[in-house]
Formats: sequence, structure tokens, C-alpha cells
Amino acid sequence: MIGAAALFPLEWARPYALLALALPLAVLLGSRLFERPFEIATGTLDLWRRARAAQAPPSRRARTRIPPAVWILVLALTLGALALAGPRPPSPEAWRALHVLVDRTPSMELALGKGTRRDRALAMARAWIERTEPDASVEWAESAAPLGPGDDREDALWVTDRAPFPPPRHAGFVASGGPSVPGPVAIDGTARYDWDGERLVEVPGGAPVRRVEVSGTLPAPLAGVLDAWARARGVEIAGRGEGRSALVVHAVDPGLQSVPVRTIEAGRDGWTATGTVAGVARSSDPGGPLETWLADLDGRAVVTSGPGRIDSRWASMEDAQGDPAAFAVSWARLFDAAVLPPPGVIELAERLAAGEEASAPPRAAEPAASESRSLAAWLALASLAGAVVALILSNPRSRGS
Amino acid sequence: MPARSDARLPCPGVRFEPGFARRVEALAARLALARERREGGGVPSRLGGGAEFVGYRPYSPGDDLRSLDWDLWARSRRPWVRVARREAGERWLIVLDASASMGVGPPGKLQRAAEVAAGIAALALKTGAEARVAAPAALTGPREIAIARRSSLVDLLTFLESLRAEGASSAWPGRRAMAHVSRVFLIGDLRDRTPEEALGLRSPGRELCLIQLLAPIEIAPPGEGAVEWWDPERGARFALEIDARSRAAYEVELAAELERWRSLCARRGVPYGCFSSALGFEEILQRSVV
Repeated sequence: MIGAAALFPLEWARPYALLALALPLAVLLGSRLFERPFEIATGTLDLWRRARAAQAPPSRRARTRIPPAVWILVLALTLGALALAGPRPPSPEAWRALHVLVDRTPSMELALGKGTRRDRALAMARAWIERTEPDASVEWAESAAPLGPGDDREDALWVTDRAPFPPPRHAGFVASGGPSVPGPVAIDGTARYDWDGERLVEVPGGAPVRRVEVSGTLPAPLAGVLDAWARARGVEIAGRGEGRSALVVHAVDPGLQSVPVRTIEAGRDGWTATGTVAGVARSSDPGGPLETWLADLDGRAVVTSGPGRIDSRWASMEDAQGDPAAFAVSWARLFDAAVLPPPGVIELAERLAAGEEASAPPRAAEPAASESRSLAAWLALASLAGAVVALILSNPRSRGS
Repeated sequence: MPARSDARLPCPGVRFEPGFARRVEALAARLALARERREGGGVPSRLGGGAEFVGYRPYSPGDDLRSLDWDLWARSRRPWVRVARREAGERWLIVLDASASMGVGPPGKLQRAAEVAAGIAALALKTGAEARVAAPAALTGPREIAIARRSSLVDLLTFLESLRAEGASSAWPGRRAMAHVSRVFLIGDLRDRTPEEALGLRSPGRELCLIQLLAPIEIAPPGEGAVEWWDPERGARFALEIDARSRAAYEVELAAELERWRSLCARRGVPYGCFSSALGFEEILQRSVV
């Protein structure tokens, strides 16, 4: 059986208004029950009788025929009831799976009211979904990186704190807004820099101690660079399981002999090194994807990194060729990029005011709403026109008496 | 079945517009002049010849055989009829049907019939004839009024405005009322009489003119749909689904009846015209009495 939805592919904004369809039905039934022929005085009734006698008697169906004016009125009432119910095209199937991307940049954790900007933005997102797409299946995802063009999809809803500018072309968004939040914005060695709302204030020795955890054994050149970098940044190098680490460096465990080792030559930023590597660096881990930082000549990843972690496959490394300083700076940049900021230290740009609350539906939803209004308006207009025509036709003068 | 109240009739009364009397008098003057020209030119008016001889013209079908000049026919081997101009002192009787069926319209048949009657009465005054307007079917008020001078025209219009389309058709004026009447004008829908009955009003020395008025809805029925016709005089009802077939059958019946009136009147030399009440009274008079 063909589904009703296939025959009448519309959704209704106010389905209870479809009860008004009973009105045209009642008019139709009433007109059949109480139908009375149009009464006209004439002085030639005998001629009509003679004319009728010359003809076959009319069928019963003809006797009870409903006048065109009633049909048109019924049609007008039907269209009016449909317009009242607010027809709208069905949401596209893709829309049924709404992708909600939650911004997890540090500013989302800033205080707002009794919670955080993230709490407020999530509440707004849930309210919007409940109000406009209660039946949609929602897929939640988090993004540690700022939301951008790569996330701009018609079925996406960004949950963030600052209304994106320029706004996404396709995706919708809800933004919590929020005032500026003074606090630590940076650390340099042991010094911490706070923003008091107007200017930066240095707090000597105020930097929290960060830890770097190294699992496995780094080749000597790399271990030396890491030591130097840790001293410069005021970071402690600790063993596994000694509390929360700002950076975890996964190195090759020399005790594991099962992984084949190969000799390679690799380099970047003006340095080249030869040595042995065990396996291929991971491209992802439970913390998310890892980007390749160093690859051998065959393109196999040797070092990959992500926020708070580095995976190095160097089992042994000879001293790098080229400028030794270039080798150190290159690795130090990798450590700087990967190390997590200490808790509570949030960049000044993130601490600035995020403006007012704002939201915009995904662009895919807007044409549907527009079509819905347009369809209802056309139906209402047709209903009005039908009622006028029915009124004109029902006027006795239009029937010639 | 009892007759229905005329309250449901579309056009039961008569109401003359301001200035109607002047329009009627002007029309009567034009008609009188036209008739005189036609008769003077040897062409008979639709009302036939008068008493003052003015000449001859060839006979044409429908002419009164009494006007044939047998001597001239014998001499010229061709039928000729005597043409005469009317004389003063004639008596005209204008019989107006005011039965309920005359309230059908719009425009109302009674309204148009009253206007035509007023026009004929004015024409009588213009030609020096004496006229009486009778409405035998009238249920209330006077049923007749005599018009002998110009001032009587106002009384005539008042009389006509007092008429209402009601009741059934009554008997026509009797022998006494017809005495000394030289012309009888019968104005109505003629739906309650046969042509033979109407033509019976004609007698030697008394001309007859029949003016039949039908409402537009009686001439051209309305479009398709269920209709209940009702006869205002008898109260009879007749429900019918009008469609192209029934409408065509009705028109055939109507055409047959009108043809019967026309042919019988033509055979007897009686002027007859069937007009829609939508037609102006001036045009009806032009086509009836000139």
C-alpha cells in the first residue's frame, strides 16, 4: 500500500487545525440534506410542464445535484482549514541527523552566571533542538580547535560562546555570549601574567609547575633537547603515573624486541638525522587525531603530535647533521606546540567579552520555513477567492431571477 | 391550491418615474404624427383604417376584408383596400391584465404593461379619441378609468400606480362595456386565454390590438440548476432540473405557442406583438401601434 506520506508529502505546523476539515464536510452534508431548488415565479409554468412531459424524467442524481456555489464553498473551506494547519514541506532526510559541534576551546570554560559559557551554550542548543527539531536524531561532537569553514555544513549546529563572524554559510549556531573574564593569560618560566580587565600584570613565581611525562626511552640527542627545553620553560620531567602531565612523550621502549627496526634518514627545519625507528608513529589515539611532524623518505610517519602528546618512533639517533641550533629550535617548537597550558591559564583573546547571546538556524532550515509560510499564504488566498466566488454564485441575481 | 401572496412576487407594483407623463405625451405626439404620415401615404397603420377616406392601396394578407373595394378590384383585376384616417370621437378600450402572473420579472410585466397602456391612452387623447383603461383583474380599488382630456392623464397614472399584480385572471369586459367601442387594446401576458378567446373581442366595427408581454426569464430561462417554478395565480409548483435539454424543450413549446398567436392574429388581421418586459415602452408602442 502506498503510504499517505508518499501521496501527501507534507508536514503540519498545527495538525490539530486539521479538525477544521469537518466544517466543509458538514456544509457538504447539510447542502445535501437541506437542498431546496431555487424558487422562481413564472407565468409560463404550463409550458415547463409540457416541456418536461416531452422529455425523459430526470435522474434522482440530477435532482439532488449540489450547486456549484456549494462545491466552491466547500473547496474554499477545505483550503482554509489546510492553511490554518500550516502545511510545510518535510524536512530533508539529512536534516534528521543533526550534527551538533561543541566548541571546546578554553574560553568555553570561562564562568558565566552560575555555570560556564559551555553550560549556557549547551542549554541553548538543547532548547533550540527541542523547539524546532524534536524528532531529529542528534549527533554530538566536540571540537578542540576553533570552529571554522571545515565545519560549515547544512546539518551542523555550532555550539560556541562567541557569535562567529562572518557567520557560517550553511551551519547554524548558538552562542552563549558572556562578559570578559579577567585571569591568568600566560606563563613564562616561573612567572605568570594575569589580565585584570584592563592591563597585564606579571606575577613572579606564580606559574604553576607543569610536568612532562616520557614513556620509553628517547635517543640521547632528543633527550638532551627535551631537558634543555624543560629547564627553559620551568617544566618538570617526571615518570609515568605521577599526576597530570602537560605533555606526554611516547618513545620507543627498548625492552620491546618484537617491533622491527629499520634505519632511516629524516629531517626538517634545516637539520637531518640518521638512526633507527621502530614501527610507524600513530596517526590517532584516544585523545584524537595526531598530525605527522616528521616522516622518512618513504612518507612513513616517524613523529606525530597532538595537544598534550607526542609519539616518537626513534629508537636510536646519531647526532644531527647541519646547524645544531636549528635541530634544538625545531624540536623545542614541537614541544611548545604540544604542551598543554596549565589549568586556568587562558589566552587574553579568549578572556575578552563574547558579546550577547545569539543564534541562527542552519541555512537548510530557512527555505523550509519560508516555503511553509508561502504555501500557507497561497492556500489562504485561494480559500478567500473561493469564498468570494461562492458568494457571487449564490447571489440570486446571478441566477437570473 | 390557494394562490400565494404577492409578497413573494418580484415586481408586484407599478411606479412611474418622475417626468414619465411628459415622456408619454411626447411619445404620443410622435406616434400620432407617424400614424398620420403612414395613413396619408397609403400605408395602413397597425391599427387598421379609420373612417375618413383618404385613398387606396394594394391588398396585403392580413388586411380586413371589409376594407376591400370590390368595385375597384373588378375594374383593375387586382385587390385594393380603402385607406382612411381616423376620426375624432372614437372610443378606445385599453384592457390591462393585472393578475398575479403580471408581477413576474424583473422588469415587471405589470410595470411595462401600465406604461404601454398610458402611452396608448395618451395617443387616444392626441387623436381626439375617448379612452377607457380597464383592469378587470384588480382586486382592490377602481377597475376602470375614463380618459377624455389631457388633465385626465394624471388621474390615469395615479390609477395605474394603484394597481397590484394579484389574484387570478378575471373575465374580460362584457358586452355592455364593449358597446360603442371602436378599438380594443389587450395588454398582458395572455397566458390565461387562448388566441380564439382573445380574438373574440373583435367584432364588426371594433378593431383589436394584442400586446403580449413576457418577462425575460420567461423568454430565456436561467442557466443550469435545480429550479422550482411556481405559478403566482394558482400557487402550483413544479420542480425541475434545468439543463440544456429541458431549456431547449421549453423554448420549443414557447415558440410554438407564440407562433399560434401570431398566425391566428395574422389570419384575422389583428395586430399582435409579443415583447419582453425588458424592452422600453416607447419601443413597444412604436412596434405596436404605428
